[in-house]
Amino acid sequence: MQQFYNQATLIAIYAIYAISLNVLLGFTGQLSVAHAAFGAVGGYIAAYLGLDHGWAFIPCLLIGGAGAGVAGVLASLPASYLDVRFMILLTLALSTAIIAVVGAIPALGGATGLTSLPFPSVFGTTLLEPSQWFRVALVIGLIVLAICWRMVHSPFGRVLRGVREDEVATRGVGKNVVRYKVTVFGVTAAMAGVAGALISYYDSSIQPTAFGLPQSLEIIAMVVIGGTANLLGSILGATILTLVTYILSNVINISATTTGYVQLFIYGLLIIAFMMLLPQGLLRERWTIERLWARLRPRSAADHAADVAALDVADGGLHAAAGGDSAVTADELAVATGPVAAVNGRSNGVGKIALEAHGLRKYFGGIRAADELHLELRSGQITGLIGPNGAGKTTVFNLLTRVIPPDAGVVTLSDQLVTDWTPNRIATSGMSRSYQDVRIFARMSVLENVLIAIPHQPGERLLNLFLRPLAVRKFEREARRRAMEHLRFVGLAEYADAEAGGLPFGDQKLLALARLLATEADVLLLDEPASGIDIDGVERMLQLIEQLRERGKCVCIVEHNLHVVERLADRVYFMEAGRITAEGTMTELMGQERLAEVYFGSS
Amino acid sequence: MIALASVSGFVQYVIDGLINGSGYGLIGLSFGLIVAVTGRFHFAWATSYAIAGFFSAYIASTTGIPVVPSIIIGLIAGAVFNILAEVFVYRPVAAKAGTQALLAIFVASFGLTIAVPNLVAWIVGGGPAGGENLNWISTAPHSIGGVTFTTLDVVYVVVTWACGIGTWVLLRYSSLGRRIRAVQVNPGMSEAVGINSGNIYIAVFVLSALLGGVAAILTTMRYTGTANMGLTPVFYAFVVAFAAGLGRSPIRIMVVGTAIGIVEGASAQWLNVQWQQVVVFAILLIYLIFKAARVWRPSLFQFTIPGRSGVTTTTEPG
Amino acid sequence: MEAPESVANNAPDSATAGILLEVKGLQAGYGRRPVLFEVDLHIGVGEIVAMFGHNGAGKTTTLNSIFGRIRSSAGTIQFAGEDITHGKGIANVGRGMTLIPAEQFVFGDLTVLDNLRLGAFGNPSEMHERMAQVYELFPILEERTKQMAGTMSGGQQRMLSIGIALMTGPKLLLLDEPSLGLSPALVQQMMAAIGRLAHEQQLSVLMVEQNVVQTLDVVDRAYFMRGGRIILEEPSEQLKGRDSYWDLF
Repeated sequence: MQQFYNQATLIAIYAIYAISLNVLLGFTGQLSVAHAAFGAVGGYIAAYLGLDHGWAFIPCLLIGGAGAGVAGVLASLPASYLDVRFMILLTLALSTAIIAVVGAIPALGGATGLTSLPFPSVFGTTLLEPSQWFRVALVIGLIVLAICWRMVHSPFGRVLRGVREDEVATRGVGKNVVRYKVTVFGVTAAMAGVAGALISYYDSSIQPTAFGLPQSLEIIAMVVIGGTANLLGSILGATILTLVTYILSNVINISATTTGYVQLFIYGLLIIAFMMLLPQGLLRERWTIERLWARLRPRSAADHAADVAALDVADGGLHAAAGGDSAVTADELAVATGPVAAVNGRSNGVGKIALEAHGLRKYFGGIRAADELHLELRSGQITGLIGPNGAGKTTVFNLLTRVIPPDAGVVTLSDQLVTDWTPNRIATSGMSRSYQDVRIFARMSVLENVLIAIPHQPGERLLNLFLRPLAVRKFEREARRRAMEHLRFVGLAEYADAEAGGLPFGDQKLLALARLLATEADVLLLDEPASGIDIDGVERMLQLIEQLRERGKCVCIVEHNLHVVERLADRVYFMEAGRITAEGTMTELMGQERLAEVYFGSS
Repeated sequence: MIALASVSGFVQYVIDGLINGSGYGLIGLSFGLIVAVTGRFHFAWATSYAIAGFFSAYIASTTGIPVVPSIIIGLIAGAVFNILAEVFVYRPVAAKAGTQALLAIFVASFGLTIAVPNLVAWIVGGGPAGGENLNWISTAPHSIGGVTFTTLDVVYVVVTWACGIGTWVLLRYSSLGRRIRAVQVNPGMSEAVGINSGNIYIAVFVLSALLGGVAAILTTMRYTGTANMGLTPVFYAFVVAFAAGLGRSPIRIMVVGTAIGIVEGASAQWLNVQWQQVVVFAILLIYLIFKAARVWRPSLFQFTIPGRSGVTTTTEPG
Repeated sequence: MEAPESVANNAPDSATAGILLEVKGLQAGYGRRPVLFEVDLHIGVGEIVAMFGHNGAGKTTTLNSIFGRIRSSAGTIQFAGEDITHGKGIANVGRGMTLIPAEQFVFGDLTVLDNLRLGAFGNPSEMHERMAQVYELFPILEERTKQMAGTMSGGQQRMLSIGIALMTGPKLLLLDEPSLGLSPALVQQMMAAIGRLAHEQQLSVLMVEQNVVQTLDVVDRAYFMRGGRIILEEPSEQLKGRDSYWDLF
């Protein structure tokens, strides 16, 4: 019986490792091989405090976790700015270094580590038997699961998944990607620290070799086998690998020396087999309990309509909210109702200059991608940007949204100088763009793609998630209402729950437009909105863009399809080789022989 | 006299570091080739390394086969392992895993790294506790100006650098080398001229096994060879490969590896053995922080680097 | 009395002889995104044919399908009498077809000489002869054999890319926007070189282009694509007579 509790305790502790790593790896897409090393940080801190300073168990756990969390934050700061390969390199080096460091500090017992850790005492009970340990490990495991569950199934988690799918697009809808990476690294490292402390006290000893690269890789294997981006899958993965180890050690018993080898051989073989048969893991991302329930209870159009009606009712309820924690703050309310009015009505200042760029310059080595550009975009107008390939049109968008920094020049957005702002700040301040290659978040639902772009969501901050859950829920309802409106506008409302990656390309472009609108930007930069779709899709898109003009938006489109430009654009800028060489209406430009020459070639 | 002694002591550390560093360079090259050309995180490199290093020693000491053929068999065994890993594990997993391919291959590679060395250890029945020895080249010490090294050490440096330079020559001047570089630099155009990248992948895996295998065998000669001897070197190989830059010249990788070895060795002047490994991490950390700072605030940390490729095709379409 | 066989054989509209590439009813796309809906075209031996159309019309997709880079969902592709509908790119190179993409069309980190050598790696015996031909066509390449391809100007890289293609000994050259990023003078030079090639070596060329006017000087025929379909096929003489092309784009 005690053996059962022993295994169960181990499973619980490894599940903590696996669940927390899954948040980092499966949901945020950061490949870290240092997870066990953070366990070492937590474990050693906890062991040291308990052994040398006589601290009680729970405080040791918490301080250990906190220490690991700090280590995680520090470690992630440089890596967050760099390519994914550097994350791997950094965490690899970190893993080895932490082990080397704890193995070198004499006070931490060197290579042999610390032994005879005191038996922990929790609420008066001393943990001696596995059955007693199991209760504690289970509770802590459930707490970790609850925290992680809340994190990933929330607006915060939505942004994490955005970071995983496409960092550029996530930044483009206004999220500070680095902040999310560092936060999630810190939190998950802290949880690993707690697991490390638990396992050390469970073994009553701690050695450096228990937290090395092989252990980190084992945790990764648990996550991948169980299914990345599925928290229940991580529990499953931890269970499988722990039990396999147990079974192997009890079933295989050939000779003393070779037993270990055979066990490990079979263990490795099983991991390989899993990857060859089920490389995507046992539980897929979308196989959550909610979906299972939804599957069993098929929804009709009536259900959806009821949903929408409910959302409208909730909207009315927003104004009647009582005080206390559940109240949405006045600021959030203003943000919630203000732009909605703007979307529906006509905003003032048609013809007013919404975006101005002066003297923009960008050289790549010897190429002048942008050369002394002056641009004016006005509200309630559609401006076209045309030119032959290589003229620099997408570069202009990149410079305006600060995806690449200009060498010189100034960008003014509604009288604010934004030349030095970060791309995500510009996106929340009134200007956003779509991409030639669409860049929707394929593994998220259609609705989530739009939801993520709604600005200033309280649920995107961890503290709000845990301290102001009702406010978060209220705003989420409001956000859903707004997102559905945008989806209705582009005609995708009935696909709200469909996986975005499964949509036909034309619909993906419409989704990208809805996502763009959700940022509530007044200046919209559309990069080839009509390319790659069939005639009907183009017509739909054009009508939508015309409606945006009616609503007073300032739209700029880059297009190659000159029919589209002719129909839509009030004014057109013609670019060649990084310079604007002509402006006017499309008719005026088409009448200029030189333009035809540049476009179609001269004889 | 004391000052002189400490200087020559320091020089000894540096020389030791240089010797180790040549090995780091070679394994960095061996590992980096695979990642640069195929994109696969072949963690099981540790296994091809260990197979070559351990097997050659094992065969030489337990069977009657003389040293040189044992070495050849060991090298071939390592190469065969790599080929089997690529063809029977990585390719099917990649085909099935879709977007998750990188991760799935990484985990599969990990599985291989556990399974195969332990299989080897099982088959040979564990072997002596300290591992196998390979005695061939003399370990007679020589001394120049207070610095000692053995013949084996000299051979170690010469052979590793010869392999590095040889790889450079291969990549630069041979048809196979050109094709390898082509696949690495531009898979699209490689297809356009009819290069079968699948075959090139296999060639790279074989080349990597041979290079790593040489390093492993030399290490076995210097110390001993065990079935798990690849687990520490893979870390160094990883660090050297990425620090030098994926796809860079083999000479550069050799230099970076040697430099890392020298710094690690020199640190022995001030640090205990346990702390020396941390030195490598510290260098790496400083390097990465610097790189990150450049991204964060480019104006502060920019050095003008003349563009390597001048006017290339427009990367900004439209 | 005797049918003028040579004339019949050279006529591009003849059903059998003279046709090098025949594409019928081609449908293709990327994943779930269909791009081509029913494309028919043919290229004769020694013919230079252009394909015009705005971005996103499906021109590059057509080339990729023919070459075998992407799988077609319907239709047939016949090359030199052989059915290559499901053929892969590498195999097609052996059959005498090669595709030069619109971007990344040289091996930037390799020297000019290595770039050219790579083209002929499959036929080392032919290498010297072909290289001499390439140098004759583009003398500047011979001057810069040791230069890294990535450091050359756009025009020179373009010439090199055509040189690499020629080293494979092709019967059909698929060129994707060869004039992209080049000045009009260079474009003319390049088009003239292509024209020479086609006529001297009976080399067929299918080039996707945006640059209508300069291309028409050298091609025999042109297709116009829009929205994944061919909307027009005309001999170049007829096209030159039009006063504007705006309505075709």
